[in-house]
Order: sequence, then C-alpha cells, then structure tokens
Amino acid sequence: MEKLLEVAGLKKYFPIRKGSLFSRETKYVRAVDDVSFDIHKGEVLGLVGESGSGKTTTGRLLVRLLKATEGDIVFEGKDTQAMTDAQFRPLRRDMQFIFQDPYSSLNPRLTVAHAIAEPIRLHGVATGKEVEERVGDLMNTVGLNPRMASRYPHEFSGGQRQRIGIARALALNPKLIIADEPVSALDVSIQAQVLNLLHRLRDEFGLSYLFIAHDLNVVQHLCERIAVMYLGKLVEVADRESLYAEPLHPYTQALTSAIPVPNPRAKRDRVLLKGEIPSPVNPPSGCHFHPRCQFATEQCRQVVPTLKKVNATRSVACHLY
Amino acid sequence: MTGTPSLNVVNLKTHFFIREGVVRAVDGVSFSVDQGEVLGIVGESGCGKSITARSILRLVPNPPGRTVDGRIEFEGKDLLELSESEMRKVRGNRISMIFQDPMTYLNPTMKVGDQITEVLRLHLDMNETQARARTLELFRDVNIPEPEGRLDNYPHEFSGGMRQRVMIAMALACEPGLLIADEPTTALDVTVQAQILDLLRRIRDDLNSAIILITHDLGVVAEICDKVVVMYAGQVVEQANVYDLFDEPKHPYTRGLLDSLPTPEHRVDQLKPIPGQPPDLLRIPKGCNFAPRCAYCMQKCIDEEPPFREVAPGHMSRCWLDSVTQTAVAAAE
Repeated sequence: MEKLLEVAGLKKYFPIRKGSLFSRETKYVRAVDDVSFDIHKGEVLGLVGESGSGKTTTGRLLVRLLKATEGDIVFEGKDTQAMTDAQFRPLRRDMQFIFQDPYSSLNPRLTVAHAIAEPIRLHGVATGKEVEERVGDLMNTVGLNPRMASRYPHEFSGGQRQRIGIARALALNPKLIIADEPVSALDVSIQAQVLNLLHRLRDEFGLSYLFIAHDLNVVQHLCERIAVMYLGKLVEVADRESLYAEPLHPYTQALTSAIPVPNPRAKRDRVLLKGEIPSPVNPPSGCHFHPRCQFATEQCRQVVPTLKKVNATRSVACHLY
Repeated sequence: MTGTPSLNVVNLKTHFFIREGVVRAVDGVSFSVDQGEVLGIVGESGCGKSITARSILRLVPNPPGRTVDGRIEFEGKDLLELSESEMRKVRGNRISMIFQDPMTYLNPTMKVGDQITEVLRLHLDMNETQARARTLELFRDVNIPEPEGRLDNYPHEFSGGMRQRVMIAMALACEPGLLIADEPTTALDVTVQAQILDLLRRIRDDLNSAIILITHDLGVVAEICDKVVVMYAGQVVEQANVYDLFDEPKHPYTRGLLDSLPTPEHRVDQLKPIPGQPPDLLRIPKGCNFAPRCAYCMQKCIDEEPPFREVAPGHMSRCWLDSVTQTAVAAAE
C-alpha cells in the first residue's frame, strides 16, 4: 500500500515559565515527544490515549494548526515542514479536521449553507450556482435535509451539528481526514449513526482517517490499525485484531482491561493501574510508564525504550520485548 | 445484606413550568433500591435521570421546576412531606450525592480537609480534633495517597480522579444510608474510572449502603449495578436485574441502545443505531414516547400510552408488545 502520510520524530514542546515573573528559567511541556507513524492510502489509523497523552496535539501538528518543534511530516512524498505557510495552503484542501465539540466549532452567526460553502469559496473550487449545488450534495451525503440549509447551528441537535462539521470537512474532497474525538460528545444511539456515516464515507470517497479517541471500543470499530499514546510517546502500534487479542505493552493491557464491557457476566482479570498519568513537564525518567508499571525493572527506570518492531504488523516500546 | 428497602420512589413527577409550556422532565417514575444494592439509572441526555436524582434530594430549582406528584419513602418518612429544615438534616447526612464534575461542587477557596470536617461538625456534632481524625480515616478509605499531607491542600492541587475521591470521602463522612452518584466517572479517563468503580463496589460491600448510579454508559452498568432502570423521555421504560436486562432486553429502546454500542465482542462493519432523536419534552407524543423511533411500532403504540407491567418475573417493561410477540421478534432477527 502506498503511504499517504509519514511522520518521523515529531516533537512539540510548549514553553512555560516557572517561578517569578522575571525568572529566566523556562520549562517545557513535552506534549508530543518523538512520535513516528505512517498512514497508508485508504487506511484508518486510530490514535488512542488518555487525557494529556498528546493525541490531540499530534493531530493539530499534522494540519499545522500548531507548528512542530522538530520532526518531519511528509504528505504524499512532500515534506511539509520545509514549506512556508503559503506553500502549505493548497495542502490544506487535502487534509481536513473534524473537531470534538460540534457546538463550539461552528460559527453561530453563519447559516449551515454558509458554513459548508465557506471552504469551497475560500479555495475557489466553485462559484455562483455551483456552490449551492455542491452544498446541497454534501448535505445529502452526510444525511442532512438540504431544505435545512438556511438554518443556524443552534437549531440542530449535537449529532446533526457533527454532520455539518463532517460536510464541511468533505467540501474540498480531501484525502486525509483527522477526526479528533468526533463522537465523544454524542449519546450512544447518535454516536452509532455518526460512526456508520464515517465508515460509509470512507468507502465512498476512498478517504484515509486519523481517528483520535480515548474510547477503545469506538476506535476498534472503525480503525484497522491502532496506535496507543502515553505521555507524549507512542507505546504500541498494532493491527486491530492483535491489539485486542493480545496487548503487549503493560499500559495497553491496563487500558484494554479497564474498558467497561456491557456484559454483566464478563469475568475479567483486571489490571488496575495505580495512580494517574504524571505531568508532562516532569515526565518520569527512562520509560515514562515505569512508576505505574507492575513489571518495571531498573532498566526501565533509566533507559527510554524505543518503538521496535516485534513482527510484521506491530511494534511496541517496552524493554520486556 | 440485601432485601431491606432503603429508598422507595413512587410515581414521581417533576415538571418544569416555562413560558413555552410544561416540560415533563420526570413523569411518573417509580423504583426502589435495597441496602447493599447498586441501582443503575441509564438513559441518554435529557431523559430525566439527573432530575430524578435531584428530586430525591429536593434540589430541583423552583421555579421553574416543581415536584408535582409522587412519594419518596426513605427511612420511614416521605421526603416530600418534610420541612426544609428537616430536609437539610437528611442531605449530606443520611443521603449524599456525588456529581460528574467535582470541581464545581468543591469550594475552591477552602482546604479540602476543612470542607469535610465542616460536614462532620455540622451533622455529627464532632469537635475539631475528632473531625480531623475522622477525615484522615476517610481519606485512607478512599485511597488518597499520603492523606496527612493532602488535608491542607486546595481542590485545584488535586487531579480529576483525586477530586472525585475527595467528593466520595465527603459523601461518606456521615455513613449515609443512600449514596447517589450522578455520572461519577464520565469526566475521568478509563483507567481512573476503573479505580473509582472499584471504590464504589467496596463501599457497597463494606458499608452496606444503597447506591444509585446514574450513567449513560451501559458498560459501567454491567460492571457494577445489581438492578437497572432504563429511562426514556421522562419515564422508566424498563426495569430488571442486571443479568436479565443484558440477557433479554424487553423494551425496543433498551435493545436499540445495546445494538448501537461498539464492543469488542460483536464487531460488525455497521452498527445498528436507533434512527431519529429523542422527542422534544414540550411536545411528547400521545401514545408511547418511543413510538416515532421504534422499529416495532404498531397503530396501538401511536394511539395509546403503554402500561408499565411485568413481562417476566421481576422484569418490567413499558411496551405494548407482549412477551410472546417479543420472543417471536427476537427469533425473527
């Protein structure tokens, strides 16, 4: 399969000032710390992690909503990090973003038609009557009645608003869609509607997704390959089947065993983690996960594990393997 | 020990009187919960589950909200008959509540230790030293690491999971007979959620308290609840013990909820969502509230409201389909 996106050694450090107003000491939040992965054409890659793991920052770096501190982002063979903003702009058409909160990502003063038409007009893809037609088509595609085009966002429910967000993202026929927790604000019955829609669109338009979520159940439903992130680093990348059947990294094991299963008879050996995710300002030495890991050894406290391939489809960053 | 009823809610109706009309947020809800039992109330946004909980503690803002009918029997009294000062002795003492977002309910300008000792001094008449010792004990019970040092911290110095532990410690301060937890883990990460659920389970077993857990997550329900009430548009549509509910859901809404869940066990390419959206509570349909979204809707469902009746031993459902037809429906699928 052809690679659509290649990410290598991606880092994002946010500076924060500690101490007094005049102190010179600057610390960094290592939100994304040396992350590498690829997305193939037509593939759905899931990026999972808990709050503060850096998954959203990673997504934003890809579309340059944030500038990376270091690392390469290669899209269709073109190195985007070397580009100026003007050079990057045409690529924005190919990479679109869907946000978590459909309430705050739509301008309340723009009608739906206007919101969906905005990217089309900005990129000069269509003019005049064509824009209107395109908006109608897009609304049909995402399951909204085109007669609602002149309404405002507040007149729609959460699920419908997320559909508007999706229509907007599709407006420019992108190749890659980065969806940041697109269903986590929605009720389960509505969530299933939107997941099915994303699934259908992918087949219809040959899209690739980077699907960012904290909910492993949702991720496994849509994604063929899943990357697990912890405190700014990828700890495991695997195909869906093997990740769920046999999670390798102790963090992935804890994460998969912590998902509540809607079956009261499910008897499970739960790996209950101690404590919570540490601060990314002062991450633990060696393996970032070692203070919460039951298998931690002296080596884990000192040496940072790198992501290594354990077989054709999966890699893990852990000294156990 | 289970079997002794702790709370009995009968035909509770809480309505909101607004300019546009009457919102029947809770419309004839009945259930009971025993000591040492966890009752789950499940439903989607706007189904009335949180208003039900708030009605029990009489915390619904009035106006616009008012509990217009029903009985809430707790420890031999009808809570709706109590005066406001009597009610104040129940809240935080015999019945406590924990919320989704602990930060909103903790006082940000007060040390967490003081917030709990305040409860103890107010309700149990303890002196400063006793209250502090008890608070320390409570912090240990909810597994807050290094509790001595944490008493004098402010809420912002705690992480989300730790704040929820502080809330739980506060709720347990007076060893309540009933603990109401409104989406206690929704704002937390899964690994932390697992820790908190573990803690709630321990509270049920050690203190023999009754717990009402309000959640939208059927996974959480399966993990911890003994009995489940499913709510839709202000009404209870199904009630059963947790095994019966998941093994043989009777109401089409419950079945729809289970089908729309992505789970590792039934991985299919297409989920089966429930079409449409919940009704506008100002414009409740005449017959069954769920009829417009229901795959098994008949003419009768549109015309007449279905009764809430027993369809199998201990298993209640608000649906016109009888159990025989339902079995046929399940077999046909």
